[in-house]
Amino acid sequence: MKISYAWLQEYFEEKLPTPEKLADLITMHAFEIDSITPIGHAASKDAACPPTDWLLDVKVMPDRAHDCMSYWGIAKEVGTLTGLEVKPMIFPVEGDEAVKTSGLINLKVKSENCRRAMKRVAIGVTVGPSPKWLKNRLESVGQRSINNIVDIANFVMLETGQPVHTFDLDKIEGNSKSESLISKQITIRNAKNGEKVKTLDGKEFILDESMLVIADEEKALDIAGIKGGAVSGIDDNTQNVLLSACNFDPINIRQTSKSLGLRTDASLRFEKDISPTLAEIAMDYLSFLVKEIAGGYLASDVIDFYPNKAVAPQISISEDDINRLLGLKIKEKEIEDIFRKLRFEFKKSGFKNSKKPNFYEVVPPIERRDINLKEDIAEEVARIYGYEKIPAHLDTPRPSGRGVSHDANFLKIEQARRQLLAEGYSEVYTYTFQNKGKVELANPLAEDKKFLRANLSDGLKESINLNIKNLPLLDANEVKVFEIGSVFGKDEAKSSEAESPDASKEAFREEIHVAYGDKKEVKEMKLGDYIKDISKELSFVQSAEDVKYKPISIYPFISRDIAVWMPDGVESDQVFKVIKQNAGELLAREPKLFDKFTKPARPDDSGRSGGEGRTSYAYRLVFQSQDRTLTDEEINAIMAQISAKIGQNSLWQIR
Amino acid sequence: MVNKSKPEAGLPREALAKWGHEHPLSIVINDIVSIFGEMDFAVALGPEVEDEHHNFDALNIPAHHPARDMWDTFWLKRSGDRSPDHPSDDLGKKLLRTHTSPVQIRYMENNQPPPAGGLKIISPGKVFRYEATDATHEAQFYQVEGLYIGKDVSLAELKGVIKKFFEKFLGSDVEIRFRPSYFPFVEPGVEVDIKFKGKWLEVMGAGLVHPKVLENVGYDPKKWNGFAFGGGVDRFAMLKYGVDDVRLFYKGDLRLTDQF
Repeated sequence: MKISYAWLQEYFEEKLPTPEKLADLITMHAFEIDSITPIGHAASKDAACPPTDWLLDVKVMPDRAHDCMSYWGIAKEVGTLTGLEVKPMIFPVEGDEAVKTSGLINLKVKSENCRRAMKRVAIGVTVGPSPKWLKNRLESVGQRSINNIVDIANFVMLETGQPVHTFDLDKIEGNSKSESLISKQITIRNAKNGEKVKTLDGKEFILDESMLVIADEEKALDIAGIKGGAVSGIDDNTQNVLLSACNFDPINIRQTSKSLGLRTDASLRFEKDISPTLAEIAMDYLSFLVKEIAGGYLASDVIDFYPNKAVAPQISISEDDINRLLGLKIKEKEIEDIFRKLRFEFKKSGFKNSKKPNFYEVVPPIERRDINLKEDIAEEVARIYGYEKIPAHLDTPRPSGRGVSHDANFLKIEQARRQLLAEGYSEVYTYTFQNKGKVELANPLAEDKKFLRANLSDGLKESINLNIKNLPLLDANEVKVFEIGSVFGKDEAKSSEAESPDASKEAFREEIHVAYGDKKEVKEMKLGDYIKDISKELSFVQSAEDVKYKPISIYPFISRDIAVWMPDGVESDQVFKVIKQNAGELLAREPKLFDKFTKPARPDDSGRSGGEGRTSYAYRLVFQSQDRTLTDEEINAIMAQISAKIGQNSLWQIR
Repeated sequence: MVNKSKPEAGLPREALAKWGHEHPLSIVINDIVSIFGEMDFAVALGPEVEDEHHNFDALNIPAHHPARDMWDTFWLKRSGDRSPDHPSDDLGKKLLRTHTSPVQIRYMENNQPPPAGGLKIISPGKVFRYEATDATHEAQFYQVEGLYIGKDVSLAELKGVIKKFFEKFLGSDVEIRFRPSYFPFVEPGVEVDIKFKGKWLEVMGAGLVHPKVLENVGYDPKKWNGFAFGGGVDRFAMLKYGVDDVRLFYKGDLRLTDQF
């Protein structure tokens, strides 16, 4: 959630830490801050033009979204972390005794998926543009201003985390034919199969009976908890408004939102299981702002359907429990201090005359629905105390006594791998997703990645073809590769039985295979079959501590050969070194010796006395650049340089 | 277990060509297994095709829970599915495991009751995420998961084990830190950052095993607790060797393997 720093500051009398310090504090004790973006004159780093605001991108985790997808929620966290006092959320709402919601509205809730419903009427409001401060607030977090009533509702949701909605009361059917505003029937009910709702943005959705709507006697007014309907939307002529703050079952909202493909700011909050207690704060806030900004008369009463009141859990935990779980030695006083910062209510209990440690009965704030277990309390203490203060213990040896016994397949894979490496095969990994196979994905990433591989050979053949093209760049003189991995099939006998819709009876087969090969042939078999015939004596051989990966160039390479006659008794190393040292930075890999033959000692044609034989060493040099295509001319120049160096040694002779 | 000396060393250059090269991810996985092996962790493996029970439910990620959004999942097609885009919600759905955590569940289910001295496993393996690929994201990649079940296991011990791992894997000068995070199967849950080449990098998720997970496998949370951690093997390899594109690991390209 994007949080405006200036907006957040409104919750505090005292000055907040700088955006960077605040971000660091939140990251280390609550939520990761993905980024800090300066706003206003910001972009320039000119000190004379400092930013007017900063946007903190707060990564609220799913377990805290129910209480922290809001300014108030974040402000409370910041209060806990900084010790600064958060302004209370109390609003002086002045209702008019002459206006009664209960006289104008009759509310019926016909679904258990509605856990709370609060309604209040406001009469004679003036719809118009929002005041500048409100526009600015919404725009600072990328929301467009629509009109004062709609903006207030959006603002209240961002402030409290409680989605609220406003209906045009006069668009709600029910006795509307008579001029007097007599009680209208509003029902929160399951939709009818096929019932249509056109949302505020003009899109039509077809609902089913698993979904909730808020309806009048004739039609659905909105998709409850997800999006308002066009039929009851606020417009410039709206005079009378129904203010609404509800709470819905999170699973029901999530399912509806998923099956309609409609995710909104409201559904994202309801699906996280926000506390029903937020509704009353939001209703007060909404009422207060509507009266303040749009005028009119507020009803003195609020209809409040709230059959099962939320109750905060009471959790027993001792000082010892906390320290045992965290590996710390925090004192009682410090624990109690952290409880207070977290606004936990707690009292100490214990058994008199007992050696058992005293424990706390802890009641978290009612809006914190994620705290139910000892472990939850321990986590809260740990993050406020600071994870950085948790020591790293490695001094508790456990009696294992039996040595480590690894999974049998893992050992077989290792054994197969060593064997293949020793035989000169290099290891590759290829993709599990293929364009053919027996097991199909319901949601493939692409048409040619629809299946799970039924073999390793197809991928290995592609690998061989790719590597043959690059052979001069490679270590070996021929391409020999292997892969060990899982392949997938279906049990033929069972799947041919019938097109059974009961998929659990479809027998998937997942097997570890070994495949290896070269350009002539690829062999593939089950791991167990491969293992049968190989020696078990190969030791593990890998070490890559010093490897520094060199990026693979996308530019073509050029290869050149050079062969040199050397007198007997001179190691090939010497000419290898001269070639390597003079080849320069464009040399893509070590020169590769690809041919070697020896002429025995005998008198040569010129009649010189014999006695010395000589050997020809032929090297292949491969040149490639990381950033451009090389030209023949520059490589010719390098080769000339190498030849010249070799020529300096009178006993060496370039063939 | 692992012989760190290269048998090739000392062989003439011509003989070098006879040895094949090992894939960097295999090397990293063996390093991990070796380091945790010294701390008594045994390798456990599990299937790549999983069911919802092991991949989600038993890990305290129930159906319809918003936390499921943390794992974009590939589902297998079944003959009974109404439409390929919306696999039906029926039971018995198969998926490609989105993490190696189901191996914990399988291992605990198969070890009843836990051995008196507790258990320690390390599970490397291939996992899958339904997401677009780029230089830092792959739809298939490797994870490694560790689990320790014992008595009175603390967050400090978790920190000790992870610290030792990174010191051995990346060098003794590496710093580690914990930060608050959330994974449904641990509580408390933390993010593990390491300071590598002067920068803090997120490398693992970890925490104490959630009591509900223990209950789900039939372990009594009053008697047993433990820690679990998991991280991306590809990312470890990229950090250690400076590989700049995760996709290179799966291209079957010897220009990569040859460097190791």
